Amino acid sequence: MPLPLRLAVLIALVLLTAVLITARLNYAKFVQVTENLDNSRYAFLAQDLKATLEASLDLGLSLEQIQNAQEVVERQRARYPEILAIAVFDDRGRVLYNSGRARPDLLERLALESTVAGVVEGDRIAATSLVNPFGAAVGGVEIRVSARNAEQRNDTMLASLGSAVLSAAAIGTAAIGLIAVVLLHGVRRRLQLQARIIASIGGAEAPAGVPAPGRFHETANRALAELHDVERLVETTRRGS
Amino acid sequence: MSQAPETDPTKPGSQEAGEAALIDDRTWRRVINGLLVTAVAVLLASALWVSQQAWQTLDQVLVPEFDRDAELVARTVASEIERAEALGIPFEEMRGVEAFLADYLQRHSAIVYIAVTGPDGAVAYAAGAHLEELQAAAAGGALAPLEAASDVGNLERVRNASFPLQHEGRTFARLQVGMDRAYAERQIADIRWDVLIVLIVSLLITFELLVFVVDRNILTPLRLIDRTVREAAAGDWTVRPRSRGRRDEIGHLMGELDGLSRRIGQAYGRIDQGISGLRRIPEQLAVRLERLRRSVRLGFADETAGTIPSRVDARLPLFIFVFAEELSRSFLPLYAETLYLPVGALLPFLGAEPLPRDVVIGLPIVVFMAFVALATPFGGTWVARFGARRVFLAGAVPAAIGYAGTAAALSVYDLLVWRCLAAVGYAVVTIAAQGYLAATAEPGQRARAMAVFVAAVTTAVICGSAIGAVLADRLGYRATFVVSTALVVIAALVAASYMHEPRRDTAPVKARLREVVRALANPRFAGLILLAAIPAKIALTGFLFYLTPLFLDSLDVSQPAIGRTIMLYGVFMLIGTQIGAWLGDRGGRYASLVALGGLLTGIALIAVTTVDPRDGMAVAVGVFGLAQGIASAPMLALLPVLCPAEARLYGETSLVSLLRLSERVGSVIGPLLAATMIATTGYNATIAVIGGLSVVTAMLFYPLAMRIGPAGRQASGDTTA
Repeated sequence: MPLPLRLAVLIALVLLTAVLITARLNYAKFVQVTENLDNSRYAFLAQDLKATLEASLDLGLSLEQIQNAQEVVERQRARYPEILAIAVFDDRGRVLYNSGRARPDLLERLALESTVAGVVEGDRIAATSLVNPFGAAVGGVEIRVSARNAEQRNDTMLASLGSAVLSAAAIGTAAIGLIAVVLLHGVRRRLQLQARIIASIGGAEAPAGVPAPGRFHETANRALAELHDVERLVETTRRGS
Repeated sequence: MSQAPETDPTKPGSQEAGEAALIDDRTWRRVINGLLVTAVAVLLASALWVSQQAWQTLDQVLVPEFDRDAELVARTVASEIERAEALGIPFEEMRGVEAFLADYLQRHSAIVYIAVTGPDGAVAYAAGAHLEELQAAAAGGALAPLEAASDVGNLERVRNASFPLQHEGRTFARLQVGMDRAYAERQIADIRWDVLIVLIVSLLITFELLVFVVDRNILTPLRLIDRTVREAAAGDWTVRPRSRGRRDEIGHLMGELDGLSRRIGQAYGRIDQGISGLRRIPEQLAVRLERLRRSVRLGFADETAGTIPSRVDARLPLFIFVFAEELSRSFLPLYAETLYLPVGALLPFLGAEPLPRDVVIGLPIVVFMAFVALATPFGGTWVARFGARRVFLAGAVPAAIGYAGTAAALSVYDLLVWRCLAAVGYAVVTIAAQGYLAATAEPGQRARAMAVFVAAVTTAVICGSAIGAVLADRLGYRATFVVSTALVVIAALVAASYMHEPRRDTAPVKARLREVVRALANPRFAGLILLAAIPAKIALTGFLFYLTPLFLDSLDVSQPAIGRTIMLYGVFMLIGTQIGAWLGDRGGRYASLVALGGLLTGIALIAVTTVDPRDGMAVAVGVFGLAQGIASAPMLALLPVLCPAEARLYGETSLVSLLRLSERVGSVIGPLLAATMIATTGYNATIAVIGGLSVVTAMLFYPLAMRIGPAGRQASGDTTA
């Protein structure tokens, strides 16, 4: 591999790593921002349901007695096609009202935090606890949303970043390769010349284009000549004996 | 083969052109600078291009997401108002609408107002901020008309979404939801800062890697060729460069040299074989053989013959290692806070808590600094005994265990153990790197070798603190420590592959620590330590390392922003160091500069307590870095001026070592002082006290340094005295 290519490859690898890190961080920030938006959006919906249901609890009804709860749940789900399920459950985890494939399993987390938002088993969830007028937790509301939208959004970003990284890497590597060839042109010629000089040492005559020999060239020639002389002398002595 | 001054080595026809100046400094500097500039330009363009694409996509995604959120809120609010209309409540007489709107407003952070405009287009009910923009738009007829469908438009600071409120197919009013346009811009701005940080860090890392790549791939092989040719020209064919299968021009040249050496070796071999068959060596042959052995030396090479130690060998592993430590700079106290457990929870029989919470959180920094101080003298001894490379590798072991343990820490108490291990590793590795750089320095170039150390450490500090914060924000604290562990392992692998134990020539006799400690009896030296060095370290570890992350976090400043703030210290210290060195060299006002550093530190810290700390802290940290940089070089230059007898007796290096060791006392005191004060008086008072301490000690130091003892006059080459 010629020297400019070798250097260009090494530098390009370093640069590619830096660009990949930049892309990765951008992507991570993008995911973080959009996930925060998703979380606040569905937490808002959960809070809205909570407000509606707690208004009934404030009237002294128990969670099981709220007559329009199922209708409210179904109406909310119908409004947002990305919602997979909405469930209202009591403090023992029993689903009282639900629409869609409900899997309320957040009781323990809701005991610690009043609102939960994030991704569970591949679905985005937002949940909040339901509190009666005396401040006791009587259950919760959980909204489960398909993560497909978020995945598509992330794929869009990945594709955008991927093409940017690829084009930057291709153009960057070509630019570095070109500059390396230009910058190292003189150096390569010098190194090639050195190699030819050394290859010519001990030969009958110097190859064309090689300038006058220096000290190393002379010393090496002398050493080889001396060695050959001694070698011949040893051979002669061996034959004579 | 070395550059001959009387010939121009760049001209192929010149007398020594065939052999001269393989390492022609000017040519290589041009090549390397050209490559670096190209690499930086390409990186800059690539990173900006990639980031631009990311921002564009984000912009494209965020705006519709905001519109969806506005619609979501509008639907929810609209249904309630439409229900009221359906119940027969006249639109103008609806009560409690504004409280109702205000309640919804609180549920979404990006919404700035919710309002209802009546049939006449005027605002009838509203809650939130920037309402004047909405009112102006309503008055100017800029909002969608009553009967229009849903509509979204931009006002000056607000993205306004307008929705019809209907009853029985008739629109009776419109709901206006205002989303904060700055919300989107803030999110994007935050990314822009992050990307800028990544860019700067990438550039610095690329520079470090390029220096390494160019040195290992070009300069070191050429130095080896140069040495081979020089020694062969003197008849010594012992050194043979190993091409390791390289197929480029350098590999080809190495191959030719290797081939030549082999030819000479084979000829020698044939001669030896021929002689072994002789029963008697004639005198003439014996004379020729003796002459040959004198003129063409050939033998087994020693272990360093095929390699040339270079400063760069230690620079990259040192950079990676310090980078690993600095990753946690902006969040270590925050991490300790998450691991805090009251002692009472672990040992209930103790009753009352022995230490305040803030002090416990500061302990990981305290023990780290203390163990670095304790291990440093041992590190120096080990380097002298076992060699820099082995000690570097040995130091990486406790460091890696320390970082891995920190990542998996169960509580703040076991974290202390892991930080001790990391500190021992840190002390030993940095001392080993210094030892290696000193050993590989050409005579008279020791200062340049130490500059390599300072450059690698400073670059790592800047890069590590900034990128560590970004990593912690994206991956979490523990994962960032896992990254630190991996980096330490990589540093060790690089050191194992590229550091070669330098030939141990007769090392300069170094005074023993217990003898050098006697220098503390010199009141000027003690004054420098007590009034300048220790207060500087108290401010560094107390204010910057401990207080700043906690304070900024308490102000809800994001982790990357905390990292950026702390990074400013390194950046401005670098600038300050240049200013301090320049001012010191021009006027020799070393004591003034040291005092100025302390004063500036104090003023910056005290000033931050009088302004909004969200912006003020960044300025204070920057000025603090500048001040510390200004004082750093003059402080070292002041040593032989303040205590010339001790400098002659023990050597300046020993005094510098003692100064460094003594100032660690300040590093230990700093977090303890800050933590104790925060627990009792709060952040602002603590910053003011640390700043006040800097001012007072600086004001005491200057007259003391000038007036005590005979060195006073010398120091007042400092003419402001």
